[in-house]
Amino acid sequence: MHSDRRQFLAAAAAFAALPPIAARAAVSPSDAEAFVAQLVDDLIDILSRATAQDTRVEEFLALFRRTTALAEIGRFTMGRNWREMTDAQREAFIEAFERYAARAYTNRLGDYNGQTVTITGSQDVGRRGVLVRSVLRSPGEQPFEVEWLVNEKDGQPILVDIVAEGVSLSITQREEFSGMVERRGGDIDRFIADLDTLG
Amino acid sequence: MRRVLFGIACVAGVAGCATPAPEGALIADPWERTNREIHEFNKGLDVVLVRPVSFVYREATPDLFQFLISNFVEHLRLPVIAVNDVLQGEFERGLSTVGRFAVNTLVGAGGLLDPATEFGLPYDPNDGGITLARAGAEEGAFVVLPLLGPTTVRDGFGRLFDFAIDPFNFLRVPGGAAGEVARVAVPVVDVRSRNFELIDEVLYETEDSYVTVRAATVQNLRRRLRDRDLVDPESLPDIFGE
Repeated sequence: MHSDRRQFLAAAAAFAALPPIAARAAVSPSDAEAFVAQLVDDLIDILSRATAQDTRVEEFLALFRRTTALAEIGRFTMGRNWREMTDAQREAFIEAFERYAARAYTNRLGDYNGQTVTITGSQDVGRRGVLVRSVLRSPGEQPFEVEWLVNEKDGQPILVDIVAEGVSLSITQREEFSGMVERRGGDIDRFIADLDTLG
Repeated sequence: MRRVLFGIACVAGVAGCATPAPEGALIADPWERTNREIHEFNKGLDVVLVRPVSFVYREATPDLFQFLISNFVEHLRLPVIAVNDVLQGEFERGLSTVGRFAVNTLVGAGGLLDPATEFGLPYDPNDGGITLARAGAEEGAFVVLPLLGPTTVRDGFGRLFDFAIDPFNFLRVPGGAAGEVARVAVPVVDVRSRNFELIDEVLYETEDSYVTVRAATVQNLRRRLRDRDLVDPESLPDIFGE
């Protein structure tokens, strides 16, 4: 669609248009890209080993706890409901959310069968971090655009979101959770209990 | 009827009817009740017709055949894309699209093959919804259309516009009624079969498929509006900032 030159000029123009006070991401684009490359390797490593479903859930959970801003993502996905939750509810939710996410990934990603992820570049998105772009290729299927939002926490790069073909997992999850709470008449405790059975 | 008029007024920008999304939500959905009914209807249609046909198509026809059909479906969209390119002032892109159409018609077996991509003229989609957005039309609320599926008010009108200017809609297809059915059905089956598992998952493995479809559709439509391929940071979650 665009030549490299055009893309470069566009990026340069967009950069020049930024107000001087615009916050730069704390994490550098090259660190973010290296972080994503490592994360992809770790994911493929888990998916390539023939392990029992339960073991894989635990492996995903360990990987997420190490590399993802799980607590912050969890808080984000509760949207406005977060403000009304008690400390005990918040704690119970984050715990349920972590396991829910690990189960969901185990069930949906399936086994590794030859997919490759090629990192194609990144974009500084200010205080939200760096968006690393990649193309996911599966044998016999059309390539898929996947973007990884990376920020920094305690001096380390940390994964904040995955955007697949423009669809943010965190935002979609927030919409789903908001609907789920609403369907339960605003009963947060019931929602948290049900979350334990889903994914 | 009043709703339809309201929608037209929105796109024309006559009434002050920008529909702001409620705080913390992705998009306004004032017609949720009706939307949900139509969503269920469309889902039923998927169960009894679209899904089974797409499944058979995917399993029983050769990959090469599906590849040719996909090429052809894309090929037939090129005139509409070129018109929208020009309307957006993107003359260079419009010219490339016309070039692609010429190359694949002449040396790509009428559009079944795609030598144009090798010649540096890849498929570069565009549509009436993008044209309306570039012209300043508001996105409007979420709406689910019978048969056509989920969209926004603006993109619904965009599709109507694209339908109206599509030269292939004025062409008679061979095969009478069967030909007419194929014209409508082939693009649908092409998309459904190429995204078979993904659509299955969204429709049948979510707690409330309506909410998931709404979230995915709206974000996917907004992605088309990216300026020179750059992501609007505002569209990303600000998890440390809230």
